[in-house]
Amino acid sequence: MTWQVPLAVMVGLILLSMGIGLPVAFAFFLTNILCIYLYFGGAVGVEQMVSNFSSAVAVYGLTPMPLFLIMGSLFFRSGLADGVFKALDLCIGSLRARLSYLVVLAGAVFAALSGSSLANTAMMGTSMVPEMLRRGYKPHMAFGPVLGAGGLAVIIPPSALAVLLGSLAQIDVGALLIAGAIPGLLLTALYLTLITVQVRLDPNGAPQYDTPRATARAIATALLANVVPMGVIIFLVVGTILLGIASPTESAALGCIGVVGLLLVYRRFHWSTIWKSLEDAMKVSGMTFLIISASSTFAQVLAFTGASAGFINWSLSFQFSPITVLLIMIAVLFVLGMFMDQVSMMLITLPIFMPLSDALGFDKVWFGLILLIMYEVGFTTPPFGMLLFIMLGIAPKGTTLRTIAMAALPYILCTLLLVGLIVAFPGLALWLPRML
Amino acid sequence: MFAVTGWLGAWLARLTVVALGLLVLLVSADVMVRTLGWRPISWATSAAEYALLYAAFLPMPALVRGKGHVFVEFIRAPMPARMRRACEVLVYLTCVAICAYLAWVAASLCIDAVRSGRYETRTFDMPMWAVYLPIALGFALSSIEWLRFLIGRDSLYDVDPLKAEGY
Repeated sequence: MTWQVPLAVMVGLILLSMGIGLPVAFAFFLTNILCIYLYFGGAVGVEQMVSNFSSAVAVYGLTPMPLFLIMGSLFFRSGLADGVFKALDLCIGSLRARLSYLVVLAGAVFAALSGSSLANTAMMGTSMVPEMLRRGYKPHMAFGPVLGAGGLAVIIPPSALAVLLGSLAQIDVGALLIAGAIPGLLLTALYLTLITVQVRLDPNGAPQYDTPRATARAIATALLANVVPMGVIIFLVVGTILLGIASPTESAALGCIGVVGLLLVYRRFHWSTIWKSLEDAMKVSGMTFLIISASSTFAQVLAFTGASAGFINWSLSFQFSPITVLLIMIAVLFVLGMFMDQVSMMLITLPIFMPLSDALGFDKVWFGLILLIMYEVGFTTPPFGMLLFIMLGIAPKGTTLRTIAMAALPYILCTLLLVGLIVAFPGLALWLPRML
Repeated sequence: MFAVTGWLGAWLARLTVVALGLLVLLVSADVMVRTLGWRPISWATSAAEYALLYAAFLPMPALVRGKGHVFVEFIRAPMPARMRRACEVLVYLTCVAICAYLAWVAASLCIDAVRSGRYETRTFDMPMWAVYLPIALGFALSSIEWLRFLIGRDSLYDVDPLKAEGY
């Protein structure tokens, strides 16, 4: 049996079953069961698969994921995010495209407090897009910044997806989380520059209007009351990892406790908020962990049949330069991102990409961050980018997916530019982790 | 039957919510006692790990009913309506079969583990039946939830992503 047959069968089955609408976890289960019967000893293999569920998900390294989700949900559900919005709003003044800038800046702050792109986009979209459209912002100036800023949560720590990637690809989770900090800020700066360019090219895209001028005292008070305390949370999560005081799991728990502390201080503590936030985390964790448990066997069968090793040796036989192989991998992720969710992309590509990256001598953290950014791009690429559909739910009736996708396009290009910068200057990703 | 399984699934999901709340408290308490130089909670790591296992399988039926399992439909979406419906039925049938089969396998392993009295050894000994039980329960109830889609009017694909995010 050559490696091409099992590879084609497994990848073909998983893509076909996902494509017809089978939920991702069940598509993995189906592919696993069929391939276990084909290549792995039948019923005994399925028993082994079920026995392995525990070792796939009962892994301490995955603990930060639900904790980051709880933390972000507490932040949004309690209304703490609204205070940040209002304070930043006062700082911006009556600049043209002020709401677009506001969304990007708030998105960066929220990304440092929440690990979920979907939650960030839904929150910013519902609160800002109707106001932007009412003020006469053109769709690209309203939808684009929300889509771009929503995706920042994947890169800027804490990121639930980074925890997942680190655990699955055996990359140091703390280092991967920290590696996203500088590129995340750089991407924020690129987005702000993009808005400036867009508004210069088309001043009517975001009409200027007068806003009440806030006094320096009012701005300082708003920042002290609403933004500075969030810095404490950011320190608890990011700072403690960077200083080597806490592991990602510990920092995530500290972050949760910190947000609960803030809720008590701001008198926003309600048991219903706590329950709702835990429920949010339960939904995402339950769905993700089930996919992980299903996919671990997928990777094992792929390895057992020799498909992974065969494909890697075949890829290396072309003697392409490492950079060419990297570009091919980026292109594959870009295409997959158009059709798949992030966890599926991760679980299908990691069994092949990680050994390939090791063979080419890539730094794991650097390569992991590039993967993470490409997963983020997949959130906004049509026709199945998840954030596009969230935005479609917020946009006025009659708005097409094409309009929203076109608004996202410049932000995707900025993200690809960031990938280029990280490839050219690896220090952008590796400087902070090397200080750990 | 569906009312009972729905109620049971909802309670399993609530149990997971409580488990996640306890997970936060447990990890925080562990960090605190270690920072204070006290003796670490020796069972905390394994308890957290098993909480993740339970978090994967206990909410499974409630997520099936609540359409919380992520899907993509790049082949199904461009199909004509009748073929889309045929695909949908095929998906439900496949999911019923997968869940029923894996529930049966997990239940067999669970019964074997009870009989043999086996344990999984981490920082404490966990009876193997307690490892397989959430898996068997999750798949068994999920197979009934998928059956509900198969014979009922509700569609898995009738979901608003914004509402799914709680907004």
